[in-house]
Amino acid sequence: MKLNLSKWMICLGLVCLISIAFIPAKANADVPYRTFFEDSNGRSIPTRPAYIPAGVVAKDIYVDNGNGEMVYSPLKRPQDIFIDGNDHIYIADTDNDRIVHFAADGTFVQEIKVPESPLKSPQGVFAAENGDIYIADTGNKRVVKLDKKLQLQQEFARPQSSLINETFIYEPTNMVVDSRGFVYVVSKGSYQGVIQFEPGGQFFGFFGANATEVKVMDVVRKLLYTKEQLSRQVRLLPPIIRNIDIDRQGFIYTVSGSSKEQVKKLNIRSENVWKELSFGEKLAFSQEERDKEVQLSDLSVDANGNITVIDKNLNVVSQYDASGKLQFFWKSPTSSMAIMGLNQSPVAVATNSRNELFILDDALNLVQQLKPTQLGAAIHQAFMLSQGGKYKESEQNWEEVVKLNALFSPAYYGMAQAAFNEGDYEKAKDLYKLAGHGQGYSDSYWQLRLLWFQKHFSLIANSMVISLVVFFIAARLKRKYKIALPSNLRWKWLRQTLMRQLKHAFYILKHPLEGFSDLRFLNRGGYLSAFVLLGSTVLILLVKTYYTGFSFNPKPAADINGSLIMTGFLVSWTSWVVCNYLIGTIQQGEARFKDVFVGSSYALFPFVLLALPLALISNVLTLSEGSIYQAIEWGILIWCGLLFFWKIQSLQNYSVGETVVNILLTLLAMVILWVLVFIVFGLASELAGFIYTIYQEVSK
Amino acid sequence: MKRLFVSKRGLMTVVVCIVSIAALASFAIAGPLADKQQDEVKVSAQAAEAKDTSGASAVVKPAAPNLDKGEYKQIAESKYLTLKANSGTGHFTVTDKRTGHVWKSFPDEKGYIEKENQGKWKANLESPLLYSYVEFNVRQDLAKEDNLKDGKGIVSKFEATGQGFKVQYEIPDLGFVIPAEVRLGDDYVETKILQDGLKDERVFTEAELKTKKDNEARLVSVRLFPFLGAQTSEEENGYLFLPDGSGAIVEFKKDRGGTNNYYSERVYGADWAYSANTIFSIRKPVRMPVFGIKSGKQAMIGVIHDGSEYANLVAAPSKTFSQYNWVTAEQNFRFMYYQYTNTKKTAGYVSYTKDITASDRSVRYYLIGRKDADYVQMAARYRQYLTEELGMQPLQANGNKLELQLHLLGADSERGFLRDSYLPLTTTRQAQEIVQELNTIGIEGMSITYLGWQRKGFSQYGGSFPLSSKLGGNDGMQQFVDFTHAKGYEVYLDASSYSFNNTGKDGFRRNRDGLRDIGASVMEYYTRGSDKKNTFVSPRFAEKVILDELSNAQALHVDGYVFGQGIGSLLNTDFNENYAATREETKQIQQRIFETTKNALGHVQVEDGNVYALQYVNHVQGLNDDISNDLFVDRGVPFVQIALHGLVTYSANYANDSDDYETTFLKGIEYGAVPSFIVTYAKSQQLLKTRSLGKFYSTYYKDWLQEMAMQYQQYNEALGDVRNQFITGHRSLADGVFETSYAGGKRIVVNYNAEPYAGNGWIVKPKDFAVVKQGGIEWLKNGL
Repeated sequence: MKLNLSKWMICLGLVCLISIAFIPAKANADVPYRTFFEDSNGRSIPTRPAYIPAGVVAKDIYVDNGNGEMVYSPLKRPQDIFIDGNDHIYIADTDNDRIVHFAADGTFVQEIKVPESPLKSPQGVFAAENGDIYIADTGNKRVVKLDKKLQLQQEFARPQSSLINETFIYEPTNMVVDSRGFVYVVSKGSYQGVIQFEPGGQFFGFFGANATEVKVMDVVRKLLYTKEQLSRQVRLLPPIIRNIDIDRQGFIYTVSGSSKEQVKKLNIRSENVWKELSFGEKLAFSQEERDKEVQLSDLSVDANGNITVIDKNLNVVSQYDASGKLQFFWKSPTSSMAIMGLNQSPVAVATNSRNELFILDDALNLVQQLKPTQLGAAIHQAFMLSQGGKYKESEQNWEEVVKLNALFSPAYYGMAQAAFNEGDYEKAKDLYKLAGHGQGYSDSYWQLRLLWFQKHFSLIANSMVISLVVFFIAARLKRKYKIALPSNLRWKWLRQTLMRQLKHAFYILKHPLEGFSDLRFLNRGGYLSAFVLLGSTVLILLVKTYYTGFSFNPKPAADINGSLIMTGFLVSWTSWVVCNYLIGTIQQGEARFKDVFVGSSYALFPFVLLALPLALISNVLTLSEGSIYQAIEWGILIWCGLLFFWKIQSLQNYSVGETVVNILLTLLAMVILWVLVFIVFGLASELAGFIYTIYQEVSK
Repeated sequence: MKRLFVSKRGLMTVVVCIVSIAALASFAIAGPLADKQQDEVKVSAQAAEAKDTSGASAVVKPAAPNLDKGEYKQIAESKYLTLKANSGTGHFTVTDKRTGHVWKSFPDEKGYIEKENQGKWKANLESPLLYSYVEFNVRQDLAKEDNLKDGKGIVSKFEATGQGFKVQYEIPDLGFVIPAEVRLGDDYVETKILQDGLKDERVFTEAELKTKKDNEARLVSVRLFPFLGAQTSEEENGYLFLPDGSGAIVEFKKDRGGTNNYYSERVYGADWAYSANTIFSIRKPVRMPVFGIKSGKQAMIGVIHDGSEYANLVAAPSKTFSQYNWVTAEQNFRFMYYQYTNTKKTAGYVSYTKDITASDRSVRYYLIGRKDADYVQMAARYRQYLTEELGMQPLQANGNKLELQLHLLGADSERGFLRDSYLPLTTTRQAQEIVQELNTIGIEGMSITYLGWQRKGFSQYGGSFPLSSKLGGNDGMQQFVDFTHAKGYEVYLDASSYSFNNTGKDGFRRNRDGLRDIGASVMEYYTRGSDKKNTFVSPRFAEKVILDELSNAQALHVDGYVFGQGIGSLLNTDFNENYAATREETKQIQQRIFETTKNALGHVQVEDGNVYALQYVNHVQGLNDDISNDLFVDRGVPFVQIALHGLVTYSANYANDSDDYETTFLKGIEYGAVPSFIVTYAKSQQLLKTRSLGKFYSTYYKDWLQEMAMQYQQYNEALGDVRNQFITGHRSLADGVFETSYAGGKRIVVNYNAEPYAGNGWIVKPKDFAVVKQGGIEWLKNGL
């Protein structure tokens, strides 16, 4: 009961206190933020945390003030953090014009100011394997390289090349150095890409430039505007690269403010390995945050290749595995309180060899240190093993994950992979179902079905022969003795008419044009039969949604709103009938309302007839036969569509061209109808609100 | 509706008539009186001036810090204390005769550096009184803060009573009169803001109105003697204690990073009735209205005694505002709220309540009569307060076995394709099976709490009885209870669901019986994953329903109810005219619910409850074992646990639901708790289907059987024989190593580190604990 009002369970906002940014802390929470993962349906689900706060770094810095006194000297708007191979921590303490160096346990070692050529607002720092330190000395527009003894060795000043014109801005904000000693520099506002220097300092070229994002409006503008107008437009430029990191294999990662390819994993030829992936999770606790956009500011790659990405704008930390798959993400609640583990303005992130996260915050002027929990560590390990194809080994880790959080669905996926790999398809099928993974389920089922067929081949063959024989005999017998339906029902007349009317639906399938006109002129259809057909359509629609095989409909039934499907269908059908009738009357159509109504019901008959068998078949089909399923489904829809067409043609007595016009007008009328309905409702609720407000004012 | 309308209009007509008649009448009378009034004002003004000039003693003009230049005269003496007071300022000093320690109602002069206390804060430090007020005619959304000195306040009355003195502060410019009393107890000094005589409205005469505007200044809050015991950090030899979570320590530190090092929290948590459009604090709520200061060898603990429900706890370490570390109670008399001006609740303005909420507000400062006291002694003194003032009783010794807190999740509604259905997770029969299984693996003591037992399941509030037949029905529950009783266990039902209603059962009508905020809106919230609104129930309505249904619970033979949420944990004013209740009255209603339930069922428990509920309970569930971890807070201590151990038993968060299983276990051992688990008979994956239980990560009981047995055994060996004893000591032996000692001499050392810790002839393994009896090692166990 305790967690009833906890922040995670409350959809952020009491109804009456609607604008409360409702974030009361979860009772007894050890961790001040809630971690989420995404299930196969893209829902964010809370989980036990993967990381817990482990302290802060850079809280107590005392430096010699020159007179032998140790004075307190906190960070001031620091912009970058780097952790080297020995877990030593370097922070670019921008507004103090220095780099601060801490040991692995967070104790202060020294400050680096380069007295022979003082730093000015340095925004980036990088320490190479051999102990060289590279500093993006932003204020001095250079990158400096120091040796182990902090002696200035080299400066990377503005590159000189024919590729670089005068407007190019060179203000390095961060850099990485690869194993060959090439330096990749990110410069403020540089849309050309990362500047690549040779170890000697010569300009080598641009690297990893982003592609220009062209929006629809830009295309429209280009079509409509004159040359002069276009020249006055702001030039379309590629998104700027914000930050950079490098992993052990030498892949270079860039973070950009773009709407796609936010994170790129670049190989040495500057090709993006992660083309189709999206990064940065949106998690908003209040209306204002809902309007904010994802804006990644930095990323870090740990020893296992996991990527941690931070978003300064939304204050979200998200973590992906080495293949770029989302593992989990969390967000610090908005608060002015400075609390351990919560960020206010995260600018940079780094990981040490123990996979601990260090998040630099330029509002707190501190580093928040987070360490992986048992769950976090197990998930990392399991993802890594699964990723490497070591399914068997991963199984144990996944089991640990499930014990810690039985709701973590990616674990079932991992276990399913392991089971599938071992050939335990039955288990794999069930696990894939738990994980909500249609493809996997289908593959396991395919295997199972194959096995079943192999095992029962003789039985199947025999029974097919037998059933054929039985069928022939039955057909013979039927011709001999005409079997009548039992007629002990009351309301004989009703039954007869209704049965005849319903049977007529079959006739329509064969002879649509005549069939529809018979509906009216031979009284082969009435409201009752129409309602029966309509009712069965709704029923079958629901049954089909519910019973379609898991491969084709991996969403759990509880997540599909049955009543929504039902109302959606009925509302659109009704508005079609109404609009079609109205348009018909203007267009010299001959159909009465009854005809349109009844005809539109009869036109749904193919669906009534075939949808159910299709749903049943889908349970034994796998995705490899998906095209068959799709073809049948489309076939049904097209058949219904054609029947609608013929219905209009026949009942309204139109030519083909008139029918097409009639359909288009009907669709237009439906749109107008709905716009009107929404306007009326909107205005009415405004009016009601207005009256209520007045009443409240007066009655106060 | 129409009738209401008419009557309102009628009422308004009457009011208008009365007002106009009164106006006429006043014109008639005011003429002759006006002169006389003016005269009176002149006289009083002269009197004030006379006081102003009559000498330094009458005006609040002490030098910072308030050095004793002989103005402090002995006023009263008690068993352990002597009180000296300065009649000019109302400041006082208290001397503890046992230790010789002196406590001052003003900042200690030691380490004072003039240049670090400048501007407003210099005057603040000198004043015996800080206050804030709102000027309704200027800006109704802004509370101005001021102190007695800058506000040109005076001490208009000072009289000694037998046990202390009464003093009256006046701020003539605003028309505020704040009477206060300082009184000595045996080992405490109590400062009280008196309701009787409190004025916060200046009456302007006609003549004055010609030259001045009536700003309608009204009192918002008062801090009386805010710097009592305040110290600088020059010597770095003390700390502030805050009741955050289990208890937080803020060391006196010269240098401290960060800019927002300020603590201000409402006692017993926010009042939701005033909380529209505000951001709730992300700190843990203050469950006990206590605070403390230790400086050098002396320590004291402050307890907000009267009017705690209207107080804020405010504290700041040095360098935040001034050179001083201070912690105090801020007494609120008016409250900020957000008034919506449209139905969609998108627009509105901030204002303060028009009417004053006045009552006596007192703080007791207990001086710890021991040299070199620390938070353990503070907690011990508070324990004494709990027994003497709140009537809590020490635990009776019956056996030395702990009771495992077993929580069973009964049922919830399952999300369905067309509609929701009932999903049983642990039926009474299955519960019996679980209990039987736990019994066979050696768990001898157990206290079972059934959650989600209500007729429609966990997330359906209202209409609890009769129990669903799918769960086992009333009969099934009764059989289960009888079965557990036969085994010697207890069964409680979770009854915090009575705080809400979303079914309309129990005769609940949202508009009639819902809890309303100050804007008269019914308070509701959405649960995640559900489109159903949950309505807060008016406390008086909840009381009625609970009383009606107690006999049903009695018939099930259960041992008691567990309350939480709106009963014992959340404290809200109710603006529903049918059930109107102030925050103070709500507190009393909640207490009544606890008392009657206890009388009817025999026992009652609370989950994460406020201190006013503790006197009725035999166990506290979900007791905070952690702190909010503000960056200016240096460490957490088990203050609450030290105060409660031996009075009630307590458990922290469910072990299998905690964020960090290992740490939660070790903390439980260190803090003297009882193990607690939440389980279901159904597999954990079932929870994802439910409306609201997806928040529990792993509850399948078979997954946790081994852990339950292990934890039970470990806890028992560590804490079984000291379950009735008070905690007498708690300290850190090394970084990550803590020792808790009990009255009987048993000591438990917990090692959170990854390396073993070597004591005097004994070793604690990493992430483990050891029990040490006098003279060395008793036994060592592998913790996990």
